[in-house]
Amino acid sequence: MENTPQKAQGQGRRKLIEFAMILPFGGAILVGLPLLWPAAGGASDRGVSTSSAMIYLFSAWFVMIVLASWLSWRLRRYQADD
Amino acid sequence: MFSTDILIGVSLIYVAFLFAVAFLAERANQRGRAKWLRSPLTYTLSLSVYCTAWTFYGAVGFAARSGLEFLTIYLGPTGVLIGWWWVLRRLVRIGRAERITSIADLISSRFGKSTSLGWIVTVLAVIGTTPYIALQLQSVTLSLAVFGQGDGAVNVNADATALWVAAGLAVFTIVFGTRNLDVNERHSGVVMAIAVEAVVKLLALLAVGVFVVWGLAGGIGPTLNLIDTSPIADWSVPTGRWIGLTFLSAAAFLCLPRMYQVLVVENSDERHLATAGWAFPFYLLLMSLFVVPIAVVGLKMMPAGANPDLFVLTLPLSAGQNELAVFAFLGGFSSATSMVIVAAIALSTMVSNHIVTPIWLRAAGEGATVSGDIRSVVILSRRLSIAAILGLGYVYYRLSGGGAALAAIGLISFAGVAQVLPVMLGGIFWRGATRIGAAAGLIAGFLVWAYTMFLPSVGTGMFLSDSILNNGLFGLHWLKPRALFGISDLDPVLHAVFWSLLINTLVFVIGSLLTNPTPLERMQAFQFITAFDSGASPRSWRSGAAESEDLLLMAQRILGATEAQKLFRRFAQDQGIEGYLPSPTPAFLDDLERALAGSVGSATAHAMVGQMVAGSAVTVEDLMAVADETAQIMEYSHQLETKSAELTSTATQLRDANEKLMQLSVQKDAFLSQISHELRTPMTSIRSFSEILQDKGLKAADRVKYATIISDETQRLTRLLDDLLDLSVLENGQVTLNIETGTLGQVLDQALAATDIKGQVTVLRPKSRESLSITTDLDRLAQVVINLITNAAKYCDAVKPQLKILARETDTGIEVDFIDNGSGVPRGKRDLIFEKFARISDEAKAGSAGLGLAICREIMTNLGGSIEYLPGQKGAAFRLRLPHQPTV
Repeated sequence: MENTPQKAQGQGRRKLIEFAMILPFGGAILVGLPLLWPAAGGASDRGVSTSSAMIYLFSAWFVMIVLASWLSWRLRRYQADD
Repeated sequence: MFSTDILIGVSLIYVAFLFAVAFLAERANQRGRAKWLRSPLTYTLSLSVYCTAWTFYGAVGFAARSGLEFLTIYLGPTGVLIGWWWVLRRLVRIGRAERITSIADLISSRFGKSTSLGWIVTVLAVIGTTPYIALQLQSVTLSLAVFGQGDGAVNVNADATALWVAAGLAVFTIVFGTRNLDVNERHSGVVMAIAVEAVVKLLALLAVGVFVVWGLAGGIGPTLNLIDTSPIADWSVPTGRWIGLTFLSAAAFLCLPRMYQVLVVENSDERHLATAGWAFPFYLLLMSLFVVPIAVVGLKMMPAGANPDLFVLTLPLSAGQNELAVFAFLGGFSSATSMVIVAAIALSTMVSNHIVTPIWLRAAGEGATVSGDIRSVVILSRRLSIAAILGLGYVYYRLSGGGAALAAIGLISFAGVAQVLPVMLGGIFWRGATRIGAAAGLIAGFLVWAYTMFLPSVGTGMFLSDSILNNGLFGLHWLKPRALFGISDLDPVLHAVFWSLLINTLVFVIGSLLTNPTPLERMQAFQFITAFDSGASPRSWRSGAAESEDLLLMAQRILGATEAQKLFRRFAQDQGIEGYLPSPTPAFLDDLERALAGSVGSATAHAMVGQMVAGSAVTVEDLMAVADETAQIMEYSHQLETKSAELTSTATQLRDANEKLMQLSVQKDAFLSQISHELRTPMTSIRSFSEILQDKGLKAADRVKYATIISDETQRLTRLLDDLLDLSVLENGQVTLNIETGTLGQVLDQALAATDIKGQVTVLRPKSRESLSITTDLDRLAQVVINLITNAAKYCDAVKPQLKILARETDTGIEVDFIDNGSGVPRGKRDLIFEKFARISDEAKAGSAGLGLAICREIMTNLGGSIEYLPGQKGAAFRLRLPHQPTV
């Protein structure tokens, strides 16, 4: 409750930076997930199709881009305040 | 179909357009109106040199062969950019702070500006990049040939095309890449042209994609169905390759010389990274969005033997969309040219900075320390390097015959340059990494890469014989190029990347642990690793400005202010310059370096002076920081030294004081006996003559004679007592001064008139300076002068005694020198002559009691000036100093 504006801003910035540092790991997990999918010719008759894999990968990719752009926008606001 | 001539015409127009763009951007930049040139968008687009012809054409081929695996090539860089906070930010900060010009410079600079490391990385980069340039040439000729095939009549000469393309690119790169030697190594014209090309290739690929999906396949749904019925319908990406290739492309993104060029060197604002952090992944996403559809449709619609690497061109052509095909061709052309241009700039910088210039400097010898003539050599060497690099690419293209699939060459190149990664990351995160470890790791990784990947790729029989490939080197099975240590199940690319980077890293780490860094390495490591801790924003140092002053600042921090100023003043005087700033001539720099070497060691001093003068990677502020650190340590030891010196000097002073006291005591005894004698002699004569006067029978003449003697003696006594009284008044500061203004000449005239020295000494007075106006107690001053003149008359032992009186005006007041031509005051007595009761010689002359100079000193002190003995003038010499205004 006693947070001064600067303090709050410092904390917000630190959170953003922590987020920026964690983001690539989140991306790695998203992109690594398909490796756990059943491959064709395995136990199940058919694996995941290329089209669904493609849709998943591009969606995951896009989500990462959106998160990164939001981050960049927030960081820029902090920098502009400096 | 389409005429090749028209195609070539279109290409030439496009190239002319690029020339214009580059030219206008350069001009706008020079006029300072180039804000838009340095926007985050331009920066992001310039990063697209990552997407070469390999990506443009090859990705479709890659996808046609192994499905979604091609995405790894884009996902790696995406990871690097989304995680820009980790590595890229640091690289850019270091690159800007240390004025790094290339990836080789980064490594060399981090490890103590090691020339050999720069050399190794440069060679590695050239070897790793040459196939890639060849690949671009190949893609341009291949795509041209596609148009030629339908032509029938015109048979495109592939080799000639490749040569023309290489030559054209060389000209473009030389014109815009080496126009000037920029301090920051930025090339706004080239960057702008690349940004335009980035847009062209993206639009071209998107246009082909849109045409294929909606024009040929019939919409999104049918396209997805087509994918699911194609040969690549199943998700079956090997785990190892998925992870390995993503990692490899991420590593290459960081280590490729051209990527370092656009990411770090051409970066004009760190904040652009935040934008590029999402915008470039988005660009990559768009570039790869239609790759699978194009591949699938191509596989379905094109004849069985068609090269999937060229589907981007052949699909529109076969559908009769010639304009679209030309656009796609321009996209591929853009991809190829932008890569070649930036790679050539980056490599030429490296070759000229790390190979040619060091060799030239060594060959040119001492004279090369002049900075002026290096620049022309550097520019020339860069131009030649660009030509040589493109020539090398062309030769490789001719040798390889353009056979291998595009993707394979690209990956080999990636793996080659990725060998820099361990050293680069170690360099910016690990303080203990050393030069020797880095060199050993790089060489080891490079050798393993060459043995397992590069040489086998060139083809059996060329470098590696069949027997080595199948049975291993020297017949050792565990040395088989494609199955090191018996691991034979691994994918060849993965195998090579795994072993080369593993061995590279291991050797690097072990080598670093076993060796110690040099001082310069430590200093550089500190700078690199604490790039952010210091909180310093990117520093700017303009070379050429106030160099001597910078040198002085640095020297002051190492040598101490007084010492440095003294040194610089001496140099300036030697050069005939007033003040403290000599011009930085080679001789001066050599001397300065030697002076600095005494404090910080010769290597550091050399680097420091060298850097200050040449104005490259290490900035002045960095040197200041190091100098400050050194200065702190030195100050501490200096303090200790000072303390011990203080003790010694105090002891010496005490000894001196004691000696002086002893001497004074002796003098005082002598004086007492003297003064008793002086008092006694007149008293005796007064007593005896007054007794005689009491006799009645004296003649009148005798009586007068004796009375006169009594009177004279009394006067002498009175004078002596007056002197003592005067001295006592002066010493106690009770004297009242009668301040007047007059000229020095008047005072001297008055003094000479009051003395009777005619015939005893000749006074020489150059009158030119005697009109100096002085404000002081003129009578007292005259008293001093009288004393000095009578002293000269009394003590000058020359055959023809002369006294020179010289006056001059100084900043603080007036100086008057009295110099006679006698033998002067013996060295041992100089300390004592101004003391009371002192005598220069033991024999009493003319009734002096040795109070004259003591009185003079007290008078001068009371007037705010001083009197001192001036040594080194042959005769006895005294200097009077008077302030312009009395300090009362």
